[in-house]
Formats: sequence, C-alpha cells, structure tokens
Amino acid sequence: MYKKLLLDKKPWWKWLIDILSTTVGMLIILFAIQLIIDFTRNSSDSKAVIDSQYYIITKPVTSINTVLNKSANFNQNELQEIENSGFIENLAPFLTSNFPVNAFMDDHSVFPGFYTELFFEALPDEYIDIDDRELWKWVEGENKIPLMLPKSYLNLYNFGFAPGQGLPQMSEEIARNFPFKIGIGTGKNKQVLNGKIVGFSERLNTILVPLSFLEWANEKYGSGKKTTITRIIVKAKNSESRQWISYLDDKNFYYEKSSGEFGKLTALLYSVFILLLVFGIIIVTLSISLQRNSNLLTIERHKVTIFKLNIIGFSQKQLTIPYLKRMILHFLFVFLFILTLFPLFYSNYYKIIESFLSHPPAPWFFCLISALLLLVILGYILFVSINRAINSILNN
Amino acid sequence: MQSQNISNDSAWQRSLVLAQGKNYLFEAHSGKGKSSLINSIYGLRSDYLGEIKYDEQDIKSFSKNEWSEIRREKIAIVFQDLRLFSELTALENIQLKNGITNFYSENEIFEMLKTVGIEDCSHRKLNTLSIGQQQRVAIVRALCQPFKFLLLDEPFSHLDNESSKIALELILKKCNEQDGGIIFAALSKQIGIEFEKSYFL
Repeated sequence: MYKKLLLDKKPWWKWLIDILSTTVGMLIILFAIQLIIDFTRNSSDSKAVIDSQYYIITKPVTSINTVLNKSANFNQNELQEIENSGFIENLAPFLTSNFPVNAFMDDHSVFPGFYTELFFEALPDEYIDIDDRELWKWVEGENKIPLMLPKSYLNLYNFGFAPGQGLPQMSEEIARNFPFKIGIGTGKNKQVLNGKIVGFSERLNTILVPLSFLEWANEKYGSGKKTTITRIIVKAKNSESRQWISYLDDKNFYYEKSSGEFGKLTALLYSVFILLLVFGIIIVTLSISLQRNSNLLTIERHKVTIFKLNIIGFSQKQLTIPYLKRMILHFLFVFLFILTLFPLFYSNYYKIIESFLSHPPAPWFFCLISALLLLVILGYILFVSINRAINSILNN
Repeated sequence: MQSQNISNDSAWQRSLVLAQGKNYLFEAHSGKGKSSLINSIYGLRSDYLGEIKYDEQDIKSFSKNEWSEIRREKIAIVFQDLRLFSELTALENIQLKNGITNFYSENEIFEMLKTVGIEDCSHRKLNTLSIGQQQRVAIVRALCQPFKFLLLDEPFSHLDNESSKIALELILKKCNEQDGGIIFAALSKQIGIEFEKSYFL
C-alpha cells in the first residue's frame, strides 16, 4: 500500500515512450557492436600483406617487351636506387618459382577432379600477415605445403566458374580443407606433395608459399636459370607522401598499394560503425538521464511522505524498493523488446551480410549478453541515484 | 533510558533514568520544549546538549537502519502533529504501520477502532475526519507494534474527557500487555494514569 504513496501514476503511453527510447538506443548499440565484431573477425584474418604502407611495384609491360621477348625485370642497380631513395623503410623482391608446378585432385577424393598448371611466389615472412604463424611454417622434408590464394580466385570460382560448370560453390572453410596434390618438377625429378590452403589474401594477387619452401624447391627442381625479379614489395616511410608517389611516377613504375582501397574502405566502414555506436550510446544516455530525472523528480515530490514513512519505521531499503521495482520493470520490458526484435533483425542481417563475409556473423546471443550486461550497468547507475536521493531525504 | 546533563530548567538539569514498564509525565506550558524532548528521544532531533542513552548506548550513534528497527519494535509514538497520511483512509493509515510489524489482525484493529469510537470512520479519507478522530487514528496506529516505550505528545489535546478516558484505558491495557512504559508530554496533570515520576520543563 505504501507503494502508491511513493509513486505517481504513469500513463501507459509514457511507459511505452520510455521503454521504446531505451530499446531503440540499445538496438543501435547492439547493431554497431555486431557489425564491429563481424568486420573485425573478417578483416583481422585477412591474410597477406599488412597495411597501406606497403606498395607492390612492377615495371610496365610494353609491346616492345613482348616483341623482343624481354621481361620487365628489375636489375640490382634499380633495386639499390629504390632502397637509397629515402622514401622506403625496406624492400623485398617476390621470389618466383622457376620450375613447373601443377595442382591436381587425388583420384580417391570425393571432390570433382581437376588439373591445372600453376606458379608460386614467395616473400619474406615479415611481409605476410597471417594470424597463425605456425600454419605458415615449412621445413625441409615436410610433405605439406601451405598456400595462400588471392580472395579473387575464390570469388572467380564461386561466382563465375562454378555456376557455369554446374559445380558446387565453395566457402573459405571448405576451401581450406580441400585436399589436393601439388606436382613440382618434371620427369624423373618430379615430386608430388600435399597442398594446404591456409588463407585467402584480399590484397596480394598471387599464389604465395613460404619462402623457405620456394628457395629449397628452386634449388632442387629449378631450371638452373637465374631467377629474375619482376615485382617487388616495399614498405614506404610515408605512404601518402607526394614525393614518394611522384618518384614512382617519374621512374615510370607501375604500383599498387597492397591494402590501399581495401584499407580505406575498412577504415570508412569502421568510422561509420563507431559513429553508429556513439549515436546509440547518446540515445541510451539521454533515455537513462530522462529516467533518472523522472525518478529524482518523483522522489522529490514525495519527500515528505518518504520522511513520514521512515519515522514510523519504514527502512531505507523498503522505501527504495518501489522505485527499484519500477526501474527493473522498465529494463525487463526493454530486454524483452530486444529479445524479440534483435533476433528478427539478425536473421535479415545474416541473409544480407553472409555473402560479404568469409566468416559467418557472430551468433546473436553474444550481443544479447552484451545487452544484458549493459542493462545491468545502467540499472546499477539508476539504483545508485535513487538510493542517494532517498538517503539525502532521510539524513535531513 | 537515560537523559543526562540537560540544562536550562529544573527538569532539564537532572540525570533522568526512565525504566521500561513505568510511566513518566513531562509537564510544561506551551513552547517549553515538550515536543523537542519527545522528538529528541525518538531520534528526530539531535540539536541538544548532553546525552540520551538507550540501554547504555548513545542514541546519536544509531544508524538509520537501527532507528528503523527501534521505531518498528521498541519505541512507539503519537506525534503532536499526528503525521498521518491524508490521502489514505483511517484504516489504511493503521494498516500501513501494521503491515510492517504484522502485530495485530484486521479484527483486532477493528476492535481497537471500535473501542475508541471511530469504527464508522475507518473507511473514510483521513482529511474528512475531525482532528479528534484523527488523534484516535494516530493512537491506534502507534499501538500496532511491539514497544518498550510509548511516547505520547499531547495525544488528547482535541478529545473530550470521555473520549480521552477511553483512549487512555486502551493505551494502558496495551502497555500492560507488553510491559511497555509511557513517556507522556502534556500541558497539565493527567487523570486516570499513575506516573512513576512527573517532571516539569
């Protein structure tokens, strides 16, 4: 009965507005968290070379090159000159395989058979960005070769080749476990090894193998010809420097920034997600501030009653309970709304986003657990403010 | 209960010991500090010199929770200004208190209301009752708890002699039932009650 002395009657539509404002803010926060988790999971395992400081430089292939059967190589002087240009931190040439390579399917495999000629390239390990370095190790005598393929190959297969040939599409996960053989060398000097795809590169448009393997294989199966350097990777000191770009243009080098557009797009997306998160936090903060002020106003309006109840024996705890119950009810409704709306939103989100991501989105209950945690924290903040207000009335 | 080193007037200058189960009268003219003394004993005021002790413990050291417990279980009070809730009915005012002590059944409460002659008003909003009727509601409310002391601050100021006599009989009966003492603040001597001691303020 004392509860009705302590609380004002609140019309249902005010309840609804309060609950919806917190719910909308919370959903925006959860959506932003979901996007950040999913994009982080998917971009942190992007495999190859690292950030926008890295440039892959080649020489232009001209018709004269073709006619004269002369490849667009870098010579040692040119490499030296780039190294001494003052614009770069370090440089590494792509090592290319100079022996025949082919990939084919094991006869006993359940997957459809294939055979293809290939080539390999390799870079020093520090240029390779792979989460699990253990996967990228190769020591002599090992029968399994780790490979990294361009993501575009998989896309080409999934969206071009497979539908045209009536073949099944392949997820990254399946591709990673796709068993195939690698043949290196020719004739009697041919060896068959097992290939294992350990990652897909968004950035490096080549088939990468560990440097240790390629050095060994070039030595053992190579044609004996000196390998030429057709492209190099450099780490620029200041990747956006105009002098550096004009240096490259002056030298008539063709360059691609290894993570350039992808990096920019990722940064842009992250900014949007962070903005969304901030927006959600602002809405929730405003909603909770309104709640807090409304609670404090109610308490202020009933301070004489609170005092009178206290002096006839009601404890501070008993006097806090009605306000606390109302707050818990608010958060309970918010949570129920989220519990209903978020999975609904999630299933649509899943359908849209699935094809863009190599990993499926993080399960929705991750976000619901975050929501619950957030609500508990917000509830605690409100509880402290209610308790303080009542305490100050009882102290006077 | 002890009150020590209180200065100002004859009654204030003593060290008083108020024992449970006995009745004490504090008699004074208006404005001489009866309500201040009652409120101080009840822990609502602390702007006094000296000490008030309850079972050898200075009451200023009690926490808010301890006071809530004392006010539920050890000291009952009828305020001079009643401090009832005007938005509730007479019965609800009493049930409010009984709700946290669970001391009496609804029938027993009705019996008390009947005894003091306000059972007909029990379902009426408090602000529709006369001050005399409200005083009797406050008396019944104060009795709805266990207590060792009952503080009465001019509880019959708006009651006629007959109503006062009936209310006092009810109070004494309930005090006897639980061996509670009365600390009575009044303008003059009270008829119908024996005091262990009377003090002048």
